[in-house]
Amino acid sequence: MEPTDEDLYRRTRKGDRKAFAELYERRAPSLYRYALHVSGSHTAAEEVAHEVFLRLIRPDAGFDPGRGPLEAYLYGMARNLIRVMRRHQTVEEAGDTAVEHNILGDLIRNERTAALYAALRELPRQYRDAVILCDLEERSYEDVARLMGCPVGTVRSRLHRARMLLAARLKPLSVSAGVIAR
Amino acid sequence: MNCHGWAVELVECARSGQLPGPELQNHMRYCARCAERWEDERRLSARFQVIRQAAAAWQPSAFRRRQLMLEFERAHQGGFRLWARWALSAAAVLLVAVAVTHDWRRPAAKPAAAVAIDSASDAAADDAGFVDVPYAPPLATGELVRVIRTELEPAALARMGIDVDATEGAQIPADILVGEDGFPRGVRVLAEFSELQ
Repeated sequence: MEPTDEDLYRRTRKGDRKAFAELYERRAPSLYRYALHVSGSHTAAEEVAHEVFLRLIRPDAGFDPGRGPLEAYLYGMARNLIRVMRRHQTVEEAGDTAVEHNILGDLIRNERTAALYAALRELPRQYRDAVILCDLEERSYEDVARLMGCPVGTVRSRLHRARMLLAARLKPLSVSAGVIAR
Repeated sequence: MNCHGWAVELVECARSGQLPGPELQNHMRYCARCAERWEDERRLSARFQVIRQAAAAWQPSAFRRRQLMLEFERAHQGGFRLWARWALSAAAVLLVAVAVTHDWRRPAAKPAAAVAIDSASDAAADDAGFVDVPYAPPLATGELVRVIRTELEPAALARMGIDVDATEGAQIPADILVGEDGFPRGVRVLAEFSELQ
């Protein structure tokens, strides 16, 4: 049976290098994506994913299994780190994800991505987390409820409300992009 | 079902990439608001799909991973050093505690109950069996003295002219006569004193 995050954490605290590596492989990519979606910056996301694990190594890492799953704790740390980075203005705004060579397409795509990230950032934290975890990370409602520490129904209603707010916020851009594409 | 009820199904269909069921499709044919919401939701899901794909390929770089593992090793070596430091400190404290307790439990180390005598003089001290401490100033007439019970080294007693075996290792119970100035004036070996009595 696959060890839980909490098992790996316990072993990590005892100095088990392999357990720490496994925990990192398992959780770093999703933390990176979470940080990317919240910050809109690839560089900041890499930094955050790294820093979360650095803090987990510290003797004063404050994870308490009685208060929730380790994954929720990791997301919480990532969120706080982004907040601190933002306060110190070290998060670049979105736009470092362009890959294609079509200049007009890139412009539209980047503009759309930047607008989506900007709209996500403007959502209340709990709505934003619901969108990121349910729609961008494609986690089940049950999983997200466990991570957010709330009932499944609450997750669903937060997500629906968040999607409605996002759609409303992005609508003007969709219309203008449609005009440009034509 | 009203529009609010349909909205739940509509969002879930857009999220899963499925087409709405016939009933909802029928509803959307005459409800412009739900039809518009369906378009918004579909568009939003498509955007999510794009950024999901862009982020999916990310893996931690080998450099970052190596850095982290080095940090992990350093932290745990540090942890060991910290543990060792604590262990050594604890051992030192334990040793001191044992030494102090051992010393404490020896009757000699206890400042034996001080016995105050109301008045004294050299003569009274002599009567009580005290031997003068060499070169100590004489007690003044009417000077108050204290008697302190303790244990003394046989060699120290022998130097004062008291007849004890100086080579004996064990300390000998004795009373010390102390003047008002705090200086010892006389010594009385308890065994010898009892013999004299």
